[in-house]
Amino acid sequence: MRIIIIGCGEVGFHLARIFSRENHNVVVIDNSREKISRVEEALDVMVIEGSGSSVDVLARAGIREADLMIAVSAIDEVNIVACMLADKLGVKKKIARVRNQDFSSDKPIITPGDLGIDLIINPELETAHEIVWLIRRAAATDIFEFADGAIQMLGLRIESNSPVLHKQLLEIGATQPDLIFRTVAIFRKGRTIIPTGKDIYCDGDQVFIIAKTDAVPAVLELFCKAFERIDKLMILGGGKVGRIVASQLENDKNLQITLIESSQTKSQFVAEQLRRTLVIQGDGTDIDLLASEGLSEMDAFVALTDDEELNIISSLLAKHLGVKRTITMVAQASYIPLISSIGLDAAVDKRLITANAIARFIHRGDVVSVVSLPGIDAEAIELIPREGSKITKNKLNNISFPKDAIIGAITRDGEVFVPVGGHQVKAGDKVVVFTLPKFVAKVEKLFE
Amino acid sequence: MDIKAVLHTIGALLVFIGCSFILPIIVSIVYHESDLLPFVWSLAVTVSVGFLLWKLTPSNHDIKIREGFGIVTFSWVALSAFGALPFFFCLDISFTDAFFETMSGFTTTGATIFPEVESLPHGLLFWRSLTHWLGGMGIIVLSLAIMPMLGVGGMQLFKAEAPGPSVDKIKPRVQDTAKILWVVYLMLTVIEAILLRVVGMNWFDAICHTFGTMATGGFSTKNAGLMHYYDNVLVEYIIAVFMILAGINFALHYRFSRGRFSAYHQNSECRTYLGIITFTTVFLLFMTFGANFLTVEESFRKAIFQVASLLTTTGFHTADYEQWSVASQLLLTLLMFIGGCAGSTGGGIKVVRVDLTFRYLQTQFKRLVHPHAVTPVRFNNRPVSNDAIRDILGFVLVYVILFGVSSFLMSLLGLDLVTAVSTVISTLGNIGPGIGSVGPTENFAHIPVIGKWLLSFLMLAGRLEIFTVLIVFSKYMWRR
Repeated sequence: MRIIIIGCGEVGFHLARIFSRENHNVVVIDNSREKISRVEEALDVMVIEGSGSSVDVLARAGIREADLMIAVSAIDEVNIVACMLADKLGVKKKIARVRNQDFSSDKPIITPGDLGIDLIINPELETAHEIVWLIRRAAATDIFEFADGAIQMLGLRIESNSPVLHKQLLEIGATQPDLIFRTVAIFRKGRTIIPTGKDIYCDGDQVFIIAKTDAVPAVLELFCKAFERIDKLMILGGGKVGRIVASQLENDKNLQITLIESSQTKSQFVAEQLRRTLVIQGDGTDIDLLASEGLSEMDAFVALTDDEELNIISSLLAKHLGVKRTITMVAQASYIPLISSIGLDAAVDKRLITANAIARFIHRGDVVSVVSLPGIDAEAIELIPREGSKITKNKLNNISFPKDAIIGAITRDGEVFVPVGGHQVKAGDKVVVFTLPKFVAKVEKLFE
Repeated sequence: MDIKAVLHTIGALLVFIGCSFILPIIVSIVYHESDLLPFVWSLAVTVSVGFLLWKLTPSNHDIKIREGFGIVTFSWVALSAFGALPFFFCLDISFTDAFFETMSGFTTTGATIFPEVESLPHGLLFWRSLTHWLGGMGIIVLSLAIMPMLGVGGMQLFKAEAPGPSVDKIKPRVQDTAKILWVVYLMLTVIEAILLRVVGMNWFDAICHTFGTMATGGFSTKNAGLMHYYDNVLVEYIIAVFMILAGINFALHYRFSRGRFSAYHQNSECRTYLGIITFTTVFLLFMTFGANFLTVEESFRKAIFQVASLLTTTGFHTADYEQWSVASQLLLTLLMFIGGCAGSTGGGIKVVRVDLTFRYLQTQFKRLVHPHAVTPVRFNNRPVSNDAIRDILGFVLVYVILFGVSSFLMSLLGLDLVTAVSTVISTLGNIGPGIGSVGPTENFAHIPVIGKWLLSFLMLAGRLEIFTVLIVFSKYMWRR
């Protein structure tokens, strides 16, 4: 498949990496020579310097043979025009990142269809969506969806008071035979481990668990001493993301939300938009202000300003004052591994979320879906075995599955289950496999 | 630099090159000659050393820029050392000579230490020509095409090996690009071999000479080289045409074959290249007609053949141009500096670099008159960035410096002026014969041992475009 990616900032780069690793023919277009040469050195893709909305440049990128266009440059209009051109030139799927919410509101005047775009992705909306999930699943550090939402993968941190501490995976599984879940990876001291039943949970581990979506609360309860509800929430930053998060959470009547925004005009605007949220105008680094607004009594603190250093510092401050849960927005994916080592809980990166959302869309109902996990060296892929592929020929016991890969869950006819050795995969199943990047190709071979 | 990663890849390449000994082994079985055993031994040694290197080093390394340079440079040295084994085992020659001959083969230089070759067994002759062919499009490019294991780091290797200032990526993926280049190369090779067979060469000579032509190498299977076919005009024309084709960017051949018939014409470099050939051929036609040759046709034929041979850095000859006028000889010597197009199998500085250097100088003149003029250099109808111009000027400068210093070193070994200078041009540009005592009718056997090692180094530096080789000696390469 020939894929044209316009714009190679964080999102474009990440997508280019995912697709070139899957052996697609990727062409990246950007008008910054610096960014272009960074991509060229790091990835096996073709690069073209120029504007994504220029017909000449698109022709050089081989748009007539392209199957997919992903426009994720910094400018909305370039992305839209590029997709419109791609539509005229017969590209099958077009995806544009558009920040302007007019296109993603409930009743847009111009619909994506009018522009010939299959998916308009709004990074702020996606990020807000993820943050809302993280708040509702208070103990989780990461949440990903599979099989159109039927399965979720959670990232959890094992704390010193966790009931599962120092126990084997097998033991924990045996205590709740009815609960369907599987631990697919453990991130311990900078290393990613694909665990077997004999591994034990250690203090400070970040574990990734695949479970049916409705079983998630029970799993959280099992892993964390008390599954704490969040009643009081403080949001720092009244930008787009903060506003959307607050407005979505406002529907929950038991939740008290305080939003702090430093700019006079912005805070005015946010206050007008939101109904139940208490909007405070003030500086997020002002410890007295935060304290007087009751930061120490908060259950959760979400830092969403455009200044990632401020987000990190204020989250640390919140932790210091005893807030149980922090969510920090960072602008560089490479900061995410730091977040846990300095004692913060969850981190979100707009660009990574956007890239993952695009990857999910492209793979929906298709062969493979890949989610790269922030900060850890592993990938979750969703595969649909073909008729007659190796994996369908025998029971799982008798198949030589790569050691550093694990099957998380299988969806068959809408039913989700976590397979054991006696199960057999059938063609058409949706199988979520968790593995280290270098084994992806090996795993895929079994499904072809 | 991660030495283990480098050794791992070199191991794999050694296994690969070891397996290629099978071809000369087949030849030697067909001709029932004495070189069978040396080849079998060479195969065994090369494959086992390669396999051990490959197995004893861990496999999960990233190939980054530094490793890319290291892998390419050291694997070329290693491949030449192991490729020299058959010569060393089979003949009574020193390892220096065997290494020189093999390096000359892989780098498509075509400089030989054999005073006469017809007494050599066919297997060895075939291997000599095969080294040309493998080195021509690049051994690493070939392995990229057929061994996917080099993966993402492939682009680094590709860039470090491919000739020219930038890589023309035909397809988004390195492996596909490498495959296409090799397929085009293979097709042209097959066509030329068949044509040569049709006009009267036997299969063995046709194939060996084709290898020498398509790789712009220059090894022949005859003592007199192509003068052996003095009575066969068609051989001369066919080889001349294919030398010219081999000196053109192979990406253009691919586009042409895909129906883009204007591909050659639209490419500035190709136009300049063909222009140089036309101009010098006409010039030499006038210079040699009457003085050296009796008919216009003969003058034309000899002129275009010599021009094509020296410009593309092949090094075949059908006339002893040392008998020509001094002006003609100097003009031919200048062609040796220019070389083929980027992305071809030719050596030298490359037409694109020479062309851009002149275009840049032109803008400098303009700026003398209009000091505030903004003067972008254009190529292929696109402006060329200042960074690219700087890289090209840097390359030309290093080329000239290396040429000067090496010529001086060669003269220290007691060679006369013309020979000292021409051995260096000829090896650095991967041409083969020069003028003086290494002229088209002579060979390199008489060069002192130290000189042969220096020339081997120059051949490698010329083939890998100098920086890839020189960087290995820099401290940046080795610092953690």
